[in-house]
Amino acid sequence: MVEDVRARELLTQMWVEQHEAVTRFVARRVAPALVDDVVSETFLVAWRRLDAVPEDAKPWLLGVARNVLATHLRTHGRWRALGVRLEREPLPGTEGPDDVAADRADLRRAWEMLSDADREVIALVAWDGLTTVEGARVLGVRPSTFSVRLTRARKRLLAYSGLPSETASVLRKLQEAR
Amino acid sequence: MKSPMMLGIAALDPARDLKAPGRPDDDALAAILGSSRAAIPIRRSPRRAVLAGAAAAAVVAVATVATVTSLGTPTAFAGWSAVPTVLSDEEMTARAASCETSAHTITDGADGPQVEDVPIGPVLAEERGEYTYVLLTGDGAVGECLVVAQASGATEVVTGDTVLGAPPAAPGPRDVTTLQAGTASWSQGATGDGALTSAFGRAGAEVAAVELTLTSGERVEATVHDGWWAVWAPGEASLRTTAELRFTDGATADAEVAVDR
Repeated sequence: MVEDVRARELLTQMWVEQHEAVTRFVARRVAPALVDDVVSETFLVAWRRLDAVPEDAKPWLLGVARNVLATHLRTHGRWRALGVRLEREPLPGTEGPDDVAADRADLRRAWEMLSDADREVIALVAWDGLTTVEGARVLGVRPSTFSVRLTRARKRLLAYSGLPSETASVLRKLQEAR
Repeated sequence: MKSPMMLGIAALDPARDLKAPGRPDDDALAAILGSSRAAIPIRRSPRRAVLAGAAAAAVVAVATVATVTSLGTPTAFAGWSAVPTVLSDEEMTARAASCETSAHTITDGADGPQVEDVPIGPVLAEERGEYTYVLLTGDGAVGECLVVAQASGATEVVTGDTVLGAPPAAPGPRDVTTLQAGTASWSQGATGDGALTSAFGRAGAEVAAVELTLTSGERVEATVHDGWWAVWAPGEASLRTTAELRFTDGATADAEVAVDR
């Protein structure tokens, strides 16, 4: 067991360095009112398990946050699936040139067609800024598994974003009907 | 890795403008640092124990202690009385509003530590002076919560503690069981520390009253309510292990209130 004074230093340092990253990770997945609770609970686990926290604490913390979220989902039934939310539709005219806006709209549509699992691996890289190895640690899978999932998810995202919008909406309806 | 597509996705991040820097003086961090890291709370006297069986259980209990108010001065528990005011269920619910509503366990799962919640709710509340002590229980979990009223009328948690373990066995009709007895102390940097001596357990159906004695010799009446008993005193005090039970028929008997380990 890490000695008390040292433990306080370690957790404080972890809090200062990782609080924002953990908060963002959680904020993408739950209602704003619940974010602080989940973040606190995540760091409480770190406090209890300081010996288990690796030097690269971020993936470990995100993995714990994910488990805490899943627990809340089971316990309170008030969480939707752990699906990563997307930024809300921007107001018209705030997206810059038309072609950029069109690309963005395609990408948004493509993103919405992805499964939660696809979105999660992409989000870990694109939003949380993790490497393949770190992302694998969050999900508790082997790095090679994570790589394969990421490659497939990106391929699907690319394919969906290249579809004409009518085809995309038909596909989405089919998916929703499943 | 950062292809144009991934950069485009990065721009769609709903949290990309969220600022949430962690600061060393954040209250939420202080609350965590003020909580125990050990399965058996570390700042307990040797006599205080968690629920029987908890130490042997595969799960590790998390004791959460939120400390807000300084009780470091000798006068902090001024107004404490050896005879409690028992609160109605309605008042109990109101005063327990800021207490923990669940106890947590951490188990080792295949993909890292898993946190599980066990809901707990108030079963007994007693007031001594400015402070109200609330006993909370759930399925294999118990919690204590000491609150003080603020000027606004809302309650503020002074200290709280939840522990998980095997569900307590129901005592015989003229018997009591003890789940916890001892002194818990807490500290939160330079701002506040304090200590609370408490004991609680189950009470048989014919137990009308439980009276304990502090090591100072002062006698303290416990609260008996709905099959539970509980007592608390300022932290400097500690309790003798023999209590006097009074039964509904008026008879009395001595009982041990030490925790079986």
